[in-house]
Amino acid sequence: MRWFKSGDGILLILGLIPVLFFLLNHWPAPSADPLYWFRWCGRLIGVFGLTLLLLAALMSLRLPRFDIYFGGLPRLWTLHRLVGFLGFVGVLLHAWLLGFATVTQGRALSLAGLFPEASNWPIWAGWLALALMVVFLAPTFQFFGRLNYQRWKRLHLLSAPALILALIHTLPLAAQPLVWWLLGALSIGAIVWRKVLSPHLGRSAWEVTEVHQLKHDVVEICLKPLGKPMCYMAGQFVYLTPNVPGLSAGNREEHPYTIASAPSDPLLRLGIKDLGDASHALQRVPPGSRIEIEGPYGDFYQRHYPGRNQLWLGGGIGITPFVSGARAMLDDETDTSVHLFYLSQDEYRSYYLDELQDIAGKQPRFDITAHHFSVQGAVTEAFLETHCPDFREREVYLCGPPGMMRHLIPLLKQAGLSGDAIHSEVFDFL
Amino acid sequence: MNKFAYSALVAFVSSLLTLITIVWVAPTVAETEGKVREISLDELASHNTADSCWKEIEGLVYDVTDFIDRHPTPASVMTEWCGRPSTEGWVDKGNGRPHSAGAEALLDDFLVGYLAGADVDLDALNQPATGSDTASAERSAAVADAGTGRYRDGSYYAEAEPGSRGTFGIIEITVKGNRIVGVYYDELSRDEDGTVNYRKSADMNYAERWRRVSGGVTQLSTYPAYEQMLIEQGVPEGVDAISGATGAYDAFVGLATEALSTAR
Repeated sequence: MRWFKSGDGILLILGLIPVLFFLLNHWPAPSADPLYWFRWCGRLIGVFGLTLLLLAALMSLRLPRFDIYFGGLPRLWTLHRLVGFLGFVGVLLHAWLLGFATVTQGRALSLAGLFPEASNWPIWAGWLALALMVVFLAPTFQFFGRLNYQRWKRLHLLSAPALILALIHTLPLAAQPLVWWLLGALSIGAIVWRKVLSPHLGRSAWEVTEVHQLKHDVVEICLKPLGKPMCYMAGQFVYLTPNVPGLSAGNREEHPYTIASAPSDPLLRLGIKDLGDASHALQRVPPGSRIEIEGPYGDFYQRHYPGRNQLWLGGGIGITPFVSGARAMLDDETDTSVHLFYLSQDEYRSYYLDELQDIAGKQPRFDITAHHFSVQGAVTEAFLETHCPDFREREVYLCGPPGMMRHLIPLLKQAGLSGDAIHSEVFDFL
Repeated sequence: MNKFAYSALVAFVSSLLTLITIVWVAPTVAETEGKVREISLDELASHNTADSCWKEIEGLVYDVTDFIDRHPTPASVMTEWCGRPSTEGWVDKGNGRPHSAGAEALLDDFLVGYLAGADVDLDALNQPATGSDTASAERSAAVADAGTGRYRDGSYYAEAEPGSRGTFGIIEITVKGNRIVGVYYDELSRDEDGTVNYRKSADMNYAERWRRVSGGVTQLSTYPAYEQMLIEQGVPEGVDAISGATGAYDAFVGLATEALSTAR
């Protein structure tokens, strides 16, 4: 049951309530009339679809620390996407079944059920909701190439009016509207918190104290809390919103960055690689700048398996959560052993390597092996075996560029590790 | 996942467009091709068999071939009019009564054209179906559903609860070849031993009193008339009320429906 998280149970219960109410109010009569079954199934799938869409909205709440109950924000986001798409397909099937119900009569084909007169506004509200959904989902169908992250986020806000229209469509037709009022209020409340309130209430203010240039395109930004310091665990990430009017790009835009500091560190350190306009601008953020932070999020180390030794495989800027983890090991009192394989192109591309080797010298339970692709080629099972003979018995944590992940995950599985023991968090599009 | 949702959207939109096309285009095609064609007397006369049976009724020509099997009477009652002007048979079913409104609505489905020289309103025929047409189509479908439902062969009997005067209706219906071929209806009463001591159909005093109230009609002719109508129409829904005997009509139809409820 490793894949099932406690938060999933809450979502499952919330999601079953409207379906149960529907079944209690409309228990199917034994009927041989296909028209009856088309309509009954159509309504049931409509209830199911709207419930999923409301749950998807609820999942966008993004409360710091609560994402742990869902296995971290990246997993919650994946779940949000899955539930949202299933809801969308449910809504399509709902309209299809009700629209084609008249076909079963074999005569008097009619569009009246699908397109009634204008006075039947609940039906038209439903159509408008579906149309809005198609508009804000259109970019995910990649009609226009790869998505622009900021534009996508703005467009996705159309989901709020779409949900309100879907509720207007459902409330007058529902036998028990109370359940929809409650679920609807929760979901709309979640969107309001996320988009209206959290930018003011959910963020804390920090000041840039130092910017360490690790390489020409990688910096470590050190932040000092202006208010209460933040409690976090190694491997977590935060959303960073610069409040620096002179910034070349991305001012007042939020982006996720991984924490590189240990939780005991009075300063919050973020490892940032120049990968886009916003992260490029941050390379030159002047000390003294005001930064807003929302977080922490993520459950990278999934600390649910104490006592298991760990194998860390990090590459590129994906070394950051391991830097945080290694720094935390200096004052860590468990007896977990860790072996970190630092995979990089060459020595120049090995950020933090000196510090990590230094930690390995001080902490006997922490070992590090550096691997340079340009010299040694791709990592092999034999290479892991040589440097960490018991790697098959460890919990594995992976973070790195997509090419590295594509190479390592099949390699580890082939070496006999179960998928359950391999953990990675990708926030490519969060 | 988004590929799946996208495919679902494409499938949804295409099937919706198909439905819209069928509803909007198909009836137009049917109307322009078939509905208001001029048909000569010779052409009408060539469809004079049970294999292709056309009839002219009030200027319009109908192809009723497919309905012969569904008509409640023996086939010969219908086929005798094939290929001929049949208004006479339409307004008088043989008992002096016209066909019902339900039958009239059914007839529209079989229209193929109008008889050359007939005085018909072509514009009205070219009108697309309106709301009231839909209602009559629904009604005709209900009658057709009832009419095509065959009864099992056998005899079916039902008896009503005794009324305030102690009389009760009885009905016996005989079905042969899946059609109603015999109906007996009367109101009786029994003495304390259970022996039938009264038949309303033979009560001439009652008939006299009834005649005075109704202005003519009594149980003497209305009971046989209802029995006859049930045989001809084939279903209780097809029986029409006779003015002056609506109480007997309600009792008759109710009892006939009850008796036939076991015959499906």
